[in-house]
Amino acid sequence: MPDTRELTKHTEEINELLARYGVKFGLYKHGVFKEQLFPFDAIPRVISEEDFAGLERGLKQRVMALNCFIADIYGEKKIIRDRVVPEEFVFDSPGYLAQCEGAKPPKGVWSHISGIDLVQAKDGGWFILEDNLRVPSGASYPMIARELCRRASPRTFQTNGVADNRDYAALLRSAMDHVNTGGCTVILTPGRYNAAYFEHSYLAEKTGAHLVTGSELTVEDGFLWFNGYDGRKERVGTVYRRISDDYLDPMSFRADSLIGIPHIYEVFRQGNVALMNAPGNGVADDKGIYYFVPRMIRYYLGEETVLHNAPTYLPYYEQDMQYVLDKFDSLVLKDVAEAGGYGVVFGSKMTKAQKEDFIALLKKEPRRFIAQEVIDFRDLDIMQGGEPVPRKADLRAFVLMGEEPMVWKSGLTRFSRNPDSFIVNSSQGGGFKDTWVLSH
Amino acid sequence: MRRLAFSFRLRLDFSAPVQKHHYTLRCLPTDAPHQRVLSALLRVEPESRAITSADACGRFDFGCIVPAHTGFEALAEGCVLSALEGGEPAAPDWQLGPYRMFTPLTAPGPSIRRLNDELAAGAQGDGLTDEIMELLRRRFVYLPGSTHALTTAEEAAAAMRGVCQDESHIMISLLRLRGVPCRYAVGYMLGEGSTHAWVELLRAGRWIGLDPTNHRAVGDEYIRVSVGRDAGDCPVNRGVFFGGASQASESAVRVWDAQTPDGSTEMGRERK
Repeated sequence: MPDTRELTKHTEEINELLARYGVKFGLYKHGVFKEQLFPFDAIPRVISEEDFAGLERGLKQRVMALNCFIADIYGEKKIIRDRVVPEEFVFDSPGYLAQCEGAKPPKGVWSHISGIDLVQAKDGGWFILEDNLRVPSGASYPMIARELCRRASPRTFQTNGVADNRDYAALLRSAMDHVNTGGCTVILTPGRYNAAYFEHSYLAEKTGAHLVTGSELTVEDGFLWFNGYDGRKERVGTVYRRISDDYLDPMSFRADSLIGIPHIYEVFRQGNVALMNAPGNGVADDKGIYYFVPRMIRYYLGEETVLHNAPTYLPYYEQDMQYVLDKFDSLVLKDVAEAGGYGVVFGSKMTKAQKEDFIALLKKEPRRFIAQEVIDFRDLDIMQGGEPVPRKADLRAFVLMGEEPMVWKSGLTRFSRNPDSFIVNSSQGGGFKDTWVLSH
Repeated sequence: MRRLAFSFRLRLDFSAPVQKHHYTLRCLPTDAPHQRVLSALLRVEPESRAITSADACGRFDFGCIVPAHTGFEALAEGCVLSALEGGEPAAPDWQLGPYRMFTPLTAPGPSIRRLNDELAAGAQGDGLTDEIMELLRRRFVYLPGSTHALTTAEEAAAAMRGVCQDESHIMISLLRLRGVPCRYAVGYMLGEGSTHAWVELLRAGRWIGLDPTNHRAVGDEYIRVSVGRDAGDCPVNRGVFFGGASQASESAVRVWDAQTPDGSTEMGRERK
């Protein structure tokens, strides 16, 4: 195990610096927007080189299959023909956008940046928890934390053989350049008040992209233009957009969007700009679709799944419904329409009345829920009051798509500060750690 | 087969000047196996270069007017050979999923389900569509102004009044409730002064149109402009602009037989 004693002495000072840099996230609670610091714990998650090699193989495979799936759904729909995925899980999903039918993103890439959430079980095995293919955030946090850690304790990184994670910007830039249709690269942010604004500005600085808001981009003559500060117009070839599909273009998606760019989606459809990630990806990262990813891997790649899903049941299938009813108390149930740790309930924690209500709802809307075995996570230590205490944690791994998929040798480790909670989402008050991949 | 000429005119008046006005118009028909577009012209005022494109719903033209203006006009004209070869061949069944799913505008509620209960339990094919058409003919009251663009099938079924959009949405909801894939179609019709909407469904691998508002099958008097899952996929005009203005719109459609005794079209003569 690497020695991190010297590093952890600097926890407080690193947190102060993170606050000063604006490493925060915002969330809406009861309709009120609140910004919170994202507490950093200096004890890193450490992944061995060998363990990471397995993760890398599995993550590449998964992202390749998901990309094939999205292209298939908005194209020929062969996976429906071959009855591998039932059509109601696809076309009835809120992530399916009919506007994307027939779309062909530059170089065939739909998910340029994928954030895949995993957990490690007590026995060391990894399980996929969910796929995030829309606008996954979080890479900037371990990036800047690493930078500050190196500054606080350079020796830690000289002696421990940690793979450098400062190449994220280079990986991202190569993903941007791979699909560029000719022109400059911009990062499109909803603005200063967005929860992830720190990340937008940080990644713009690190990749050399222009940081822009919607009002600085215009569509003219079938192309997208950046209106520079000096009054010059520059053609845009890649937009790393950090606003959701719904708000991207009031002419194609939500008409009331004030932060979008009218007709940007049409420029994309005509192949004159790359949007990363491509609109419509939500069809593949739905919690219901998650169940089918191992089948997709077999179907599109003809391979056996390297990284397994957490054991999951779809009450939609009668056999699974029976299992869920039999084992209700040992399962966690998730509403497929919710995200960010919302809509997750544990069978064991419900009162009798709650359970009856829930089961009635489940029988009425079986398509709306998935059930999973509660995985016995491997806890990670965090420092609390000068003492290490074990907490639940997950890992968001980042896969970027260039010519080939690339897995970043780091990741965002999130932990729950509450000892009784399994939910690690930052929107639920969790903290984060750096993720070290050992280089030998 | 019939040679039809059409003109569509849309006029928007703004209460104050607007600028950077982006528009998308779905008002010109697309070449399809069942209709050949002989000519199609679009003129937009203030003058702007519209780009022609197409998606799963059909042709559209989009552009942007940057300078300040208080009025907008689009004039679309053309000529079509309608009702060719008995309809448009459909994609294979496994690609029709989107047309089997409910959308927010077509999702059934208690009123749609009550209507469904009035239909014979095992009805399918022509039997089912005949029953739905007959049910709407008897019970639905055509009443312009009683609904709006976002009225759902369920709301329209509760009131049993509305316009062609509502009648088509109810029919779509009833068909999908029984697993029948169907589409919402927008276009022009001989003798109809505004845009019209109807329903398409499959017969022997081809899309055929049924017009519940006029209690009849869609024939050679119809020009199809766009097609989608519901009205939300097929807006004739969509726009955003900068400026604090309210907008008044008016539109007019004319369709006429373009066959003159010598076989040439009447386009030139009809043009203002």
